[in-house]
Amino acid sequence: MTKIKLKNVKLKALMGTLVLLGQCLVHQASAESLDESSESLSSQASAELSISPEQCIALHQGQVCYQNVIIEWHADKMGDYCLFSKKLSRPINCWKKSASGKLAFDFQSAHSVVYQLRQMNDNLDVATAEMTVAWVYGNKKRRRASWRLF
Amino acid sequence: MYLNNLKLLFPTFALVCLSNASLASGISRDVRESAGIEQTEQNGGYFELGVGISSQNKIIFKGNEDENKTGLGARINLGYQWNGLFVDLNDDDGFSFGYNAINTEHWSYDLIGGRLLGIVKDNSDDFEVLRKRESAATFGVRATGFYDNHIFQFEVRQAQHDDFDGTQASILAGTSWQYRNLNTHLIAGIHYSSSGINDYYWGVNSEEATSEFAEYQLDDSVSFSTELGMTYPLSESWIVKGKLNYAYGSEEFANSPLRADDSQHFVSASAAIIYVF
Repeated sequence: MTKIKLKNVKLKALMGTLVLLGQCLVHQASAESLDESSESLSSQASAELSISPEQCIALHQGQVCYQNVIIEWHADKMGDYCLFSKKLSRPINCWKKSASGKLAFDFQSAHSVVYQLRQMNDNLDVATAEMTVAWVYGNKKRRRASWRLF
Repeated sequence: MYLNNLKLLFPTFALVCLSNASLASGISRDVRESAGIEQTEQNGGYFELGVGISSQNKIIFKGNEDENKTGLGARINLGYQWNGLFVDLNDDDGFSFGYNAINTEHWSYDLIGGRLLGIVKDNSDDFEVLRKRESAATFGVRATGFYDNHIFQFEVRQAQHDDFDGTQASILAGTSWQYRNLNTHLIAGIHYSSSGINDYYWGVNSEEATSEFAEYQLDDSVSFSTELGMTYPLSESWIVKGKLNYAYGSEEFANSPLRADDSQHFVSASAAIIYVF
């Protein structure tokens, strides 16, 4: 009976040691991972992307909305950047060795569009902006549509 | 007074004699809004408030010749549909009510009612010597076809009144197109009005005839109308809209002693800024 108790105490001590060892290893691994991540973040530019105006108004829901817009961006690092929309795989415009850019274009879409500024060296999106399409008469907002008053 | 005349123009002038589409085309709102067949079945309504300016080339009633042909006024457009029952009052199509009875893939069939406004001494001081031409209810059927941006409408109504009976009919075709965010529409129509209606409102019988208002009887009449309109969205709730109307009125109507002149050509233009609730 006493032997069994002694064996149990030893086993508990061994288990405790193993758990502590495990925790140390996990902690070290996550610290290394954090260091790598920080290094990655430090190489990624931060940027601002703005679109003006931010909204296009069509008369009816589903109609193509037309708007002359200006997109501007500023990054904290010089680099190669391209502007993409989520609808297209090819870039709308690219700027080489730049830290800012401006583009005027004719927006034409029946739906809202998200634009992304991509740092081409890392192929990472560094900023996004959305052009919203709104309308006066929705498919459920006219003659036989619901009252918005009540 | 100008506005009173305009109010009269909508149902009476439009539906009785001239049927100026400006004036109550029936599909104007649907064409302007590029409505589809699916909208005809939905429950709900619309409410719009605004202010507008209108101008016309002719004064309609004798005695009002000195009145201004241009006027500023409020625009109130509202309508509601519930389980097929609908009522509409708007500056595009005037007043109507009815029941949306049948809908197919492209066509919507309504039982429809409305009102012919009377002509009374309020319309012109000169009319004090004339009998009162009372308002009358109208009932009929309407078929509206929706094909992409094109809308066609056929309508026949019977006027109900103790002193007369008569028939009105119209065929309208409208189309709309978009240039950037500007929405444009064009509507053309032919309007028939039977002698019973024409004579009651625009005729002068032997009992009321005077030197100023000679006895006059009207026959059936046919008139033509066109409308070119534009609507532009300013925001999600504000729109500006304008329209130009031309109507060719019947000779019957032109020669009525109640008329200020015998012109058959009517041009009107209007513009409004509207808040859409």
